[in-house]
Amino acid sequence: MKVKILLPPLIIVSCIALMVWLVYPAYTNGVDGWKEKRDKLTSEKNNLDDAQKKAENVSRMVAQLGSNKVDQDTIATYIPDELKEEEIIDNLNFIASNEGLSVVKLSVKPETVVQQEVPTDMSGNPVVDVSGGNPSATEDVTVKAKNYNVEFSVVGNYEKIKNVLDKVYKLKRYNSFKTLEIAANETPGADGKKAAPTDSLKADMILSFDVLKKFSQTVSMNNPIFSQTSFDMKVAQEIRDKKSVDVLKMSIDQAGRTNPFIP
Amino acid sequence: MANINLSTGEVREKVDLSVGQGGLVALIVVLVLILVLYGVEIVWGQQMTKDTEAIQTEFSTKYKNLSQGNPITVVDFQNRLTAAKKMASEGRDIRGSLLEIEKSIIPGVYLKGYEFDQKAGTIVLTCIGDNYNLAAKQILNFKKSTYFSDASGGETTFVAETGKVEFKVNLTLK
Repeated sequence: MKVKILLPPLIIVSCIALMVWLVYPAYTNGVDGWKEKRDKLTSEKNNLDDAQKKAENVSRMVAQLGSNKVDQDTIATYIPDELKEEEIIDNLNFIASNEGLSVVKLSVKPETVVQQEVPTDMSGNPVVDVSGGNPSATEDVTVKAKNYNVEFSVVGNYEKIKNVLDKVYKLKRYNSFKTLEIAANETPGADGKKAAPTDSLKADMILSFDVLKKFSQTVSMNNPIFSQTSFDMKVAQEIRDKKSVDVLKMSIDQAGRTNPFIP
Repeated sequence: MANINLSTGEVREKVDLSVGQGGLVALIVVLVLILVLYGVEIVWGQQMTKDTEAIQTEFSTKYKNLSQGNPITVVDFQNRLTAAKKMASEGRDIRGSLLEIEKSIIPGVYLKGYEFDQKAGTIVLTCIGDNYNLAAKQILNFKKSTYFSDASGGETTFVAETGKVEFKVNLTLK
């Protein structure tokens, strides 16, 4: 009879104790409770869905590149991944010679590394590590475009110089005029005195050619490009509209000499 | 007087007993349910851990695929596009400025020198004029041009050798 009286409160106390010490901590304990596991599972599922979506986006963009060679070539020519200084020299010389100008100077030298604005994770979101999927560091996909100065001097009349400047500007490879000086080409006369002004001008310019090295770092999934489904190619058409002078491709006809010191 | 007990105590005790037993059963059921709930939490939690691990593995594979090969091509091309957009808006048409200068030069004045500086966004012209009046008119004419955001006169000297006035004009590009 006494057991019967004691049993109900005992069970109630046991129920409360089980709820407090077992069931609730198993439900949530801030680390590995049922709720935390459920949240983690949901989060991982979302990550996986996100990765799948991004993988699909990548496939679409690769397909877009494959089907749009014209735009791809326009961009690759406009901002190449290597300097190709021989091409710069050949093209500038060709433009000047074609206009009948004398090239006095043509040299290519690197200047400084400049930062180009490229897609970056500005929100500072943690990047998921490739190996473990753990947040590690913020993404740094800042691409360094190397800037090369080309010193180019030509001598000729005003109209021809103007045409050369126009053609250089319209070259399908990106370049910009850093400085340009045009002045009379003063050559001393036979008596050592200044000759009378002629139509002959000398244009000294420093042109800037940029090179954007191929991206070879590990790609982070947080890169905003993967959220896009296609490339915005408007700029390629804009470039084609503005730039009409083709970049000459070089070829070597023959090579090999028994004595390279003989002219 | 004899006491006659009319109460039905035995019957009431029986009823109380059955109610007490029902409550006890209910409590036991609750206790069992709590234990079952705990068990479900544990088993379900273990299953979720397994599922999470499986998803993490799949995610890692996907991520590895996303960090090599095609995605690098995509990022590289996007970088090129972004850089190209910036560059396309930067380039300055030098010929345009020469054409504007041609239009602005007045009779009796000619150019001796042209200096363009992209960083400063300026063009410094060295002009030769027949006299100071023409030099002043030339500066004014450049100021009237809408192509340049600013035009100002610089050093002006009389060259005795030629009998002409050499003066500088500083033009700021828009």
